[in-house]
Amino acid sequence: MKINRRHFLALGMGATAGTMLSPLPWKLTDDASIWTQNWAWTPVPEIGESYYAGGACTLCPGGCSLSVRKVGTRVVKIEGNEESPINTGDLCGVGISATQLLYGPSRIEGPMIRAGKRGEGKWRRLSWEGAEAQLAEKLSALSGSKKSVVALSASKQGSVALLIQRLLAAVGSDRFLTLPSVHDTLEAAMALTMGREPGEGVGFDTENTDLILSLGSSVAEGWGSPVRMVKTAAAKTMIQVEPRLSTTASMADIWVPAKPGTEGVFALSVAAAMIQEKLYDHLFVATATEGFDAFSAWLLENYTPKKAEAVTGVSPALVKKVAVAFAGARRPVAICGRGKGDTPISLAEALSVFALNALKGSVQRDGGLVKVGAIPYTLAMAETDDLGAKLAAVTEKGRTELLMDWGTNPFYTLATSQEAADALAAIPTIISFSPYMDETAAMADLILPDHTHLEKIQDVPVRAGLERPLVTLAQPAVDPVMTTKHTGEMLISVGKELDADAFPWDDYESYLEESCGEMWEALSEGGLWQGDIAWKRGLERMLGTSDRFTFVIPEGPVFLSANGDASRYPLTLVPRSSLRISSGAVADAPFTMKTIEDTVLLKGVSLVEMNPVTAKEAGLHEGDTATLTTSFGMVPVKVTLFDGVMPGVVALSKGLGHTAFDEYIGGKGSSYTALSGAMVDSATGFNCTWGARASLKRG
Amino acid sequence: MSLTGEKQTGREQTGSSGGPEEKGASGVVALFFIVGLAASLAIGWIVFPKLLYSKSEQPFDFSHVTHADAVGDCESCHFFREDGSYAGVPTLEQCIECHEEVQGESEAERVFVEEYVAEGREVPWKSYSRQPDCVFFSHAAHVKGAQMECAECHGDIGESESLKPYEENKLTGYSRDIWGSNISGMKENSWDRMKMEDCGACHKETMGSKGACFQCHK
Repeated sequence: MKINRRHFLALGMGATAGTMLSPLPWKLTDDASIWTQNWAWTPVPEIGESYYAGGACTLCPGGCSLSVRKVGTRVVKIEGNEESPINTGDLCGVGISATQLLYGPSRIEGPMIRAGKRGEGKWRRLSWEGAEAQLAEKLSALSGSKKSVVALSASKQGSVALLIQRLLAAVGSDRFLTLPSVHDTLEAAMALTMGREPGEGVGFDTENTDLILSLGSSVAEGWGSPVRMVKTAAAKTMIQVEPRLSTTASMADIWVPAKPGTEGVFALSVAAAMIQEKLYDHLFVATATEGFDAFSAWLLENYTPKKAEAVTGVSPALVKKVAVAFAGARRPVAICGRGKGDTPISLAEALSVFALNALKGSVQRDGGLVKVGAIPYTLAMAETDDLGAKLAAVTEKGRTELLMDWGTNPFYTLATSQEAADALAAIPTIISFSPYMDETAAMADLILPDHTHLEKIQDVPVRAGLERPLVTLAQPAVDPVMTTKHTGEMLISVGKELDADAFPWDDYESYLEESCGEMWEALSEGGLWQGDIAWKRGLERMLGTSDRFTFVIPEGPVFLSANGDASRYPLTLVPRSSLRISSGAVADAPFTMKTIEDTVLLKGVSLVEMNPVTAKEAGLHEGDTATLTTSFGMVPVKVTLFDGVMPGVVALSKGLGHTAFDEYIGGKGSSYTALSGAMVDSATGFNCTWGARASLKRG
Repeated sequence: MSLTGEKQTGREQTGSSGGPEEKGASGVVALFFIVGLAASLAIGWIVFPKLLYSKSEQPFDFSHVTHADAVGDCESCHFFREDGSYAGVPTLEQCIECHEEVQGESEAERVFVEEYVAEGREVPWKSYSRQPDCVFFSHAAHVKGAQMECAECHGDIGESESLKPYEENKLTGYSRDIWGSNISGMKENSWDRMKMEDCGACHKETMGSKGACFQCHK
């Protein structure tokens, strides 16, 4: 018998039939589908009992309280704390993703000293005793050259901030600096219009307001306390003044596309329209204010809707519509601070917004612009004089011998130009207390890493434009993952070496309790302290004598024009804010990076938004690769077209382009800040940059 | 050349159907078919399951009967926590309540106390009934909410004298009990397998609907 093709075919057919009649293909298909849904490398929480620890988020100034879910000794999820009056159980994507910052590869393992060239990434590990001795030695070696030591602090107040200030005092320096925000300008404006005691702040009672006139503030994209403001934006009548159809603008009832940077002028034109049309609160102005006549005359001479149109590009009809809506609302409030409010505005602009609120009587009352009482720390801190000038000196060559950074990451946040970055890099000694390998730690000579906010106990004074003073308490949800040390503890230890009298405490926790004083009971029991409101309500307001409001005619310019030659730089670059992109000192965690849409970041390249009309004139198309240049730097970008951005304006997302951290965070897109340069307000000395002139060339 | 003068076709040359030689050839072809069929059936039904699953023993033996007699019911050890979540396999903390010292003379007891209790080490029990991680399952919803008996899903495990070997699916890493011991997927009892269809069938029967995807696949 010859075996031929037919026999093999028969064998194959039999085998096929038999296989199909066996469970093999069906079972394998099923198993394969289960296998693909349960990759061995997919992180899955340990199996076991889960429980919650309290805490506070410090990734932005918002003041959210946390419920940290744990299984065993590991943090598995971060949720918003339901007890918090600020975030009431909710939390933003940046806060939720902090688990990845806690366990991620950007953590610094322990104290380290630079072993290679600066920025090379070569380190030698030190013991904590060794690292603290190094810091004490470096500081005492410099104590003769007063004022050459700078410390940047993540917080303006609070227990750790005070220790940093005392450490500086021990070496004779008064350069205790914080990153300025719109609140620094608002506080200066309040001092002029309503009076201000040290520690007092400015708040907006947005909970009780019925209309928000937002002068460039990204209410739904991270301004103030983000979680709370997102809800507010959805619930209130909103008028959004912004050159771009942002998420906030899309949620608003009226969108006013004023030219970039002219929001203050627009506010004055609305104020002028209210006076022209007699829409202002005559009773409040007559009984509780001073300086109205002079202010009114100045306003009507310079900022009538018609005159303002030349600056803002907003038609007098739209100004009047806004004035009518603002004046017609029961408790409206005008808020300011572009984007997330993390850049100051000019004092003149702040005064304009104060005046607009006062014209409607929306100061020191429910739903208005309000004074916020000082936080009653028992150990007082001195407020830094001339913060603007002192900050500017940090990015001037030869003005600083030693820089210490606690959570501000100046190599990212203050490096607004190549020149500024070079000046920072030229500082002889840089010391970082960052728990993460951020841009500043990467350039440091000595790193004494702090715990993250999930590993330590610490008071967190909230400065987010809330209507009352509030402090949250960070609490250790886990034992430190790395060999880190609480910066408060470290400062007490180093401080004792330099000036034992100024650091009399045995440890940080006993100091914290003493420092918090009357707040400690509420903080230690509930993780949160909140003070009373500082204004009178209802009948009490009508009968009592409120603080009088003074209309102040601004001296400096309300509108700061962008730097750069218009012929060389025909476009105007403005930042975009996103709730999903942390634009502060600490970058997004990897998970949050993954949520960024393709019109913002694509394959590691930032996209700039431009109007199709502008793109056509420049010969650019959707997806084109281009170079974005300002007087301060240049970066590669891709172009995305968007009708919602004003012609002549290009928008770049803020918060990307980190160069340090780890491979999942760094090297993604370009930093807006590095291109933004300086726009100094002569009244305060703050860099109030809202954008820069720019060019966009293909290739 | 034929007498009729007709030309032979190729087909005729190879013989017409029905001849004895032809029948023999077909039989061989059929035989090959049967061999292929039988071999693949044997592979599919007998060899494949042996290859797919690996067998291992539990860290030491355990009698549910002895414990049920001593403590009374399932929930004494397999309890619900205060927050309503199900504790699953008991941890050392619960076992130590009775087993701080060696009780009785069994080898399993000796191993447990010496190797785990004394050293404070959790017993790495292999769970027969754990669903894959892509499945969300709440004991509270079924036992507390729907008042189901443990045995409806877990069968007579509570009456076992000793622990059966644990069979792990080499591909997915999950217990054989999810698919069921019968490789064909057939079942006699409600607890014989716990695949999605089984969940769906019970939900359909008791609630009128299989439910939505995201109820279990979050």
